[in-house]
Amino acid sequence: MSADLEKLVKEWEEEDRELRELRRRSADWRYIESLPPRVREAIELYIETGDLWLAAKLAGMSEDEFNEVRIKAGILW
Amino acid sequence: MSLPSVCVLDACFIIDWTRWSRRDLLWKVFSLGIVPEPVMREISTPQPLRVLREWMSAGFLTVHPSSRDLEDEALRLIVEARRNPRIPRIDPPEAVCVALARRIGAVVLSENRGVIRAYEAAGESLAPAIVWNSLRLLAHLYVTGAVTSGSFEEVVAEYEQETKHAFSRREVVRVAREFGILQA
Repeated sequence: MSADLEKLVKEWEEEDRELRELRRRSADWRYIESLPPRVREAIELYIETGDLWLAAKLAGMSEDEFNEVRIKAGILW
Repeated sequence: MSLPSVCVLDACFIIDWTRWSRRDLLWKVFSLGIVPEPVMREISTPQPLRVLREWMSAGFLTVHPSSRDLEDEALRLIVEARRNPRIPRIDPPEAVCVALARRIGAVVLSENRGVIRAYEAAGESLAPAIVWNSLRLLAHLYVTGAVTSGSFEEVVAEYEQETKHAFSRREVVRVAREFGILQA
C-alpha cells in the first residue's frame, strides 16, 4: 500500500472512532431499551457501524423509516 | 475537470439533504437528478417524498428503472470493494447508483462511506463517475459562491443542525483542503 493510502486509511480509522463515539454518546439508551428487539438490535448495529442501509434491513424497515427511529433515539449520523 | 451536469442520488443523501432548508441549491449545480428504482423504495416518509415530488414536478428529477445488467454490475462492484478490507461495505442501492453513474458519467451523491472511500482511494477505478457526499457538495456550493452567507464552517454547522447529520471534524478539514477552502 502506498504511503498516501496508508495515511488516508489512518485518517479513516480516526474518523470512524470519532463518529462511533459520537453515536454512542448521543444515544438515548432509555428510548433504545424501549424498542422492540429487532429494532433495538438494528440501532446497536447502526451505532457500531454507521451503516444505515444494513441496520434498516435488520430492522425490517426502509432507510428513511429507520432514519426517523435514529433521530428519535437522539443518535447523530 | 468540469463537473457533470447529471447526478445520481442515493437514499441516505436524499433523506438528509431534503431536510435542509436550502436543499434547492442542488439545482444550481446539476440540471438533472436520477434516482434508481431500488433507492426510491428506501424513501417512505412524508418530508423526503414531498420534496421528491416537487423536484419531479419541476422537471429536475427522474427515476431510472431496475435492470438485470445494472444490478449485475452493482454486484461486481460490491464484490470488488470487499477485496480491500480497509474499505467499508458498499450496500446494494449505493452500488446501483455507482454502476449507473459510471455508464453515463454522472456524480453519485451518497453518504455511504464504502463508496466515498472507494472513490477517495482509487477514483480512477470508478471513472467517469464522481462520488461526493453532502459535505463535498456543500464545499462546492461554498467555493462557487452559491452559498454566500458565513464561513464554510457555519454552512456545515447549519446543515448539521437542520439534518441531524454530524460530520467527522477530520473529514470537514480534509474536504476544506480538497476544495481549496483551507490551505493544505
